[in-house]
Amino acid sequence: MSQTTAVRPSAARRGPGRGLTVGLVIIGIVILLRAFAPAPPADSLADTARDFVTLSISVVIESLPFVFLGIVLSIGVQIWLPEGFLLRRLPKNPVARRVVLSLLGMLLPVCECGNVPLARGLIAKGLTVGESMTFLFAAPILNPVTIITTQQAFGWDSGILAWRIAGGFLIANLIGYIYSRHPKPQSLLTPRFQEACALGDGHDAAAGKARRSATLFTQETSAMLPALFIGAGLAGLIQTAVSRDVLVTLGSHPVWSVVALMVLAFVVSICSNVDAFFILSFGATFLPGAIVAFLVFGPMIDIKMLALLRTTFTAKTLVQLTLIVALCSAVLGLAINYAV
Amino acid sequence: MTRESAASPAAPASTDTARSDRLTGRRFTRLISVTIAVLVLLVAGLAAANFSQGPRLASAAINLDASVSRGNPRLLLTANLPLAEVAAGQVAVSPATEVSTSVSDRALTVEFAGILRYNTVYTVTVTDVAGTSQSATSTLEYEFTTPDVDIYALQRDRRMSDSGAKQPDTVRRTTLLGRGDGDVVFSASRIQQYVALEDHLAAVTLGDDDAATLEVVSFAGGDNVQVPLPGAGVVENLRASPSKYLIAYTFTSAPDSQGRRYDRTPFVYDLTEYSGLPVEVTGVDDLPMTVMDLVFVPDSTTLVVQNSGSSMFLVDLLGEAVLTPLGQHAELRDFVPGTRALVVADPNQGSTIDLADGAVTALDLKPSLLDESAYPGKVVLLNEQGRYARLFLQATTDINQLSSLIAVTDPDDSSVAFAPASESSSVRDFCVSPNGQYLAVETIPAAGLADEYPTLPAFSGMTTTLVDLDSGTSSRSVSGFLPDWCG
Repeated sequence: MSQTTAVRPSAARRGPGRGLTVGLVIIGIVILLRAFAPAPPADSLADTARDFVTLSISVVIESLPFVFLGIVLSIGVQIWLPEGFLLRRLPKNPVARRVVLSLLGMLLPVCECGNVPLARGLIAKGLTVGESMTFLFAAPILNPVTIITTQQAFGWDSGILAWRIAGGFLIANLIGYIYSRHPKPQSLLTPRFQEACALGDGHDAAAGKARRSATLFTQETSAMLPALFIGAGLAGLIQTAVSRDVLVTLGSHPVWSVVALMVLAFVVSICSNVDAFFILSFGATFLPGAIVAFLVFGPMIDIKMLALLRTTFTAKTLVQLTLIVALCSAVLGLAINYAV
Repeated sequence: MTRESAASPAAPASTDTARSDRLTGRRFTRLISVTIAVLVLLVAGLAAANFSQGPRLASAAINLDASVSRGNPRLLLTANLPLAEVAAGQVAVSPATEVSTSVSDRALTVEFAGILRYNTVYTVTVTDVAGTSQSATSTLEYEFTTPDVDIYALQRDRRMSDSGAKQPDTVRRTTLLGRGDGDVVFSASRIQQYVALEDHLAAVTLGDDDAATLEVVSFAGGDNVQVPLPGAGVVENLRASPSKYLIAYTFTSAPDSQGRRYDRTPFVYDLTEYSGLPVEVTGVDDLPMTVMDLVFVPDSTTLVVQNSGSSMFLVDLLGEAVLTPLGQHAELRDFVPGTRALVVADPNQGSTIDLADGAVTALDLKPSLLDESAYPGKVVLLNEQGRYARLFLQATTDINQLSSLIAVTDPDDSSVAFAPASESSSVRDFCVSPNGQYLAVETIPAAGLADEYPTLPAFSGMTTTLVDLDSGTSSRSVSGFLPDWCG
């Protein structure tokens, strides 16, 4: 049975050009408003509001270059590499295959938001459910953009980057191993997966690579930047609105700090490409184990990710996955807090 | 029938498949359950371990070079958790050293009183340390070894070479743990005086006509820099602030062509100043000043000068050279090691001036064991608790000979810390190391011949002995005199 790609005609007609035009117009209006607006008095913002703006903007400024780098690399590997180039080269041995898949993010450096449709496409092309989970949970962490941003934020010496890489790799492979033992892997998927898969895998094959790249750039930018702005805003808001004493009290406890940052990671749902900069501002307050738990748990499981995963996996599967990943992240964070 | 016959062979296979699926399903469920159970146990165990663990040392930092050269060095102990307050009584230091403590978040700062000893292993133990978030306590311990220290000495050579030229004088550098007299770092035909900075040496050399030249030598190599002097004259009282790259001196000359006569006029030269010109330090109303003595406040850009009227001033050499009066005193001595307490002397009594708050404290020194039997000489205050070293000259069996002795006295005890190996040898001068650990004693041998330098005259064959003030032992001896500690 042949599959058809459903593309809404209106969307296809509009293409990326309209979005870009709207974006440029908005930027132009903002620049004009700023240029002709009277200079605000120095104390026009209250201290708290000024702190909020400063903290939020600082996260955005730190993160933006890396977000665009991730998008450009993502376009390169998704559009400019030949079809099937990656799948044909995977080892046959299941363990080795999962190990390689967990490192595939090095070639497909997108954050978790981009990995879900990518993993759905890979399942459709022959990956098992367990293998797709390994890729899904490892790729947001084991990819060059995440590694570079984590290194920029925390350096090599703190050990946070090493723990994040090791934690992401081990948890993703554990999940892959467990679900490779499932007798009916297809039962882990939602009934509508095939349809969703077909939708997610669709490319306008007729369009040229350059046009598809522009479309993907628009899509990725539209998906990533709102998440970044929301995350930056939340970072600023939490730091200005929540009492510093509360954060310090939680952050200085070896157990509660891990719990607190895992909850924060779940709620904030910030992309793995920029989460290191987000949590950097908490680095002086929270213990390293809590930071690592945040950086490992967040890219694998958060509100946004669960919403995306629900399009593919059953609710029961997601509950199991959430529990295992949360417990693994907690073990990692608590062990680091105990040992380091 | 047909249906039955067709179904019969398939039924056992279907049943087996279903049974196999159920078995595999149960195995998967068991795998998930065991995995979750193990993870829950690990989380519980690690949480319990974390709850019961007190703070641990994450890192420690101390500037070792500064710890033996500047007062009140600080050891920064960083724990893995924010710390509750730590009292000084919880801190034990070996060898015993007075400390104060302060806590900020995860950092515990241990501030040592004074300057630390050279080449010494220090162990700092902080007991009953608690975090702010839990009551479990622990002990933090850190060990560090202070560095060796450079020792400079000036060797004057009266010998003549075969060609009839005078053998050059040399400044040599060695270390406390080093052997021999060390390496030559500067040589010139006649060296009057020198001061050592962190990576430079400034030396006053004399020409055949006794006119002084002031040279700066970089240990990194390169040509010597000659500091411009107002003319031919005498340079005296050469002093240095090693960490600030400053030297100060006085200059005396006959009237120049414009009638300006320098009379122990103080100058300051900044080694980092691009102009390369020394700056005259002027007195009240910007008038020229004649000074009896001058000394740098340790590790600062501030100079203490004593003018010809015995009035003392603090002069900050940065920015506007504002003079702060320190009163009138007969003698400007030096600073108590490791402090900013300036020792001054008057005919009746000595006193210290704490430059931090201007407080003047009269010295109440306990009598030395040699007070009754010897002639007292130079005194050096060793600490703010009244410990001091004093040179005495004592009669010997030879009525033409006085022997030199140095006694160290504190409120509880008095003892002889140094006596030359031979009664016929004598002590020219002595001073205390910047950290108060050693006395550097310059000894003139019986056969020493005067070198007849116009300023800071000395003798041939002089040695400098380092006396450990705690043990009373003479731990090291180097050829030459004028160790940099006495500069």
